[in-house]
Amino acid sequence: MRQARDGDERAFREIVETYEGAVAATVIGMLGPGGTADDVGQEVFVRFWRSLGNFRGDAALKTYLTRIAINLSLNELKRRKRFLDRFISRDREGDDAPLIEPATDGTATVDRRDTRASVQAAVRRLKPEHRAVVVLRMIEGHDTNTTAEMLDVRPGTVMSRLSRAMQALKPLLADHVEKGDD
Amino acid sequence: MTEHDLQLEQLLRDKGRSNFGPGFADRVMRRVEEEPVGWIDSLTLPDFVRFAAAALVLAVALAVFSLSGSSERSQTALEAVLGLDPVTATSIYDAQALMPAASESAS
Repeated sequence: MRQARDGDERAFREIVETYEGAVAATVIGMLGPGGTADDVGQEVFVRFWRSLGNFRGDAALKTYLTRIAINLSLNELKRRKRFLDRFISRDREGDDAPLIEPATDGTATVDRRDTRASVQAAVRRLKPEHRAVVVLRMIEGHDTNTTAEMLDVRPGTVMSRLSRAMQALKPLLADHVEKGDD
Repeated sequence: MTEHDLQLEQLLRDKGRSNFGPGFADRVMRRVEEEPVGWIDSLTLPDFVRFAAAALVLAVALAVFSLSGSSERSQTALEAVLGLDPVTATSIYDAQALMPAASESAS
């Protein structure tokens, strides 16, 4: 870490290789696979490179990078939503909007026999705030307090969002859970 | 929590993760190399502390140097440290100092 802070690119590359899995899980979990997720993943590390001088090491590096990743992913989702809102009339805005969003990224056509693709597609159909909790808490395995800190919400909010998200995921993944397949 | 809930959690843990395509680290490093590095961007905190310490020593040395001749120039200590000319009645009412252009045209 100290070498990377002194501008050693080889040391920084080691950090990238060590933590790219954690960043990928967050970014792809939020945005789905593809070029945009890759770009956002790169941006996470570029921003970290820029802020190396300010990183004091108080937070675990994985937590620090995941926080950047979740914030950039949420920004990208907001950008997508603004783009879609220009072209799609949404009459269902507000608190009573359904928890599950319509598939707009081709996930409706996922091969249901592919468990991994089905799980990821189901997670991406959750609303962003619920999706973020599932990605950080269930997929990445952060504890409730860390997840709350990353999302800047109270731990109780994390738990209630997680509960609602899991309820929403049950019917979407019922086949895979019952089959217990791989 | 039911057996079904536990299975769902396990499914998410096992199948929810993804990876970037091959060569991700190379792509990141290409972008890092393209980052503009100005001299001020490359300063680290230890660099800044060294720079600030040197600047402080220089400022103190200049102040001591200015103070050393202050009594001959009838300057107060503050004037000497700040490098100001002593304020006298002559300097206040010196027309040339107040309006150099006017005094030049009059002459």
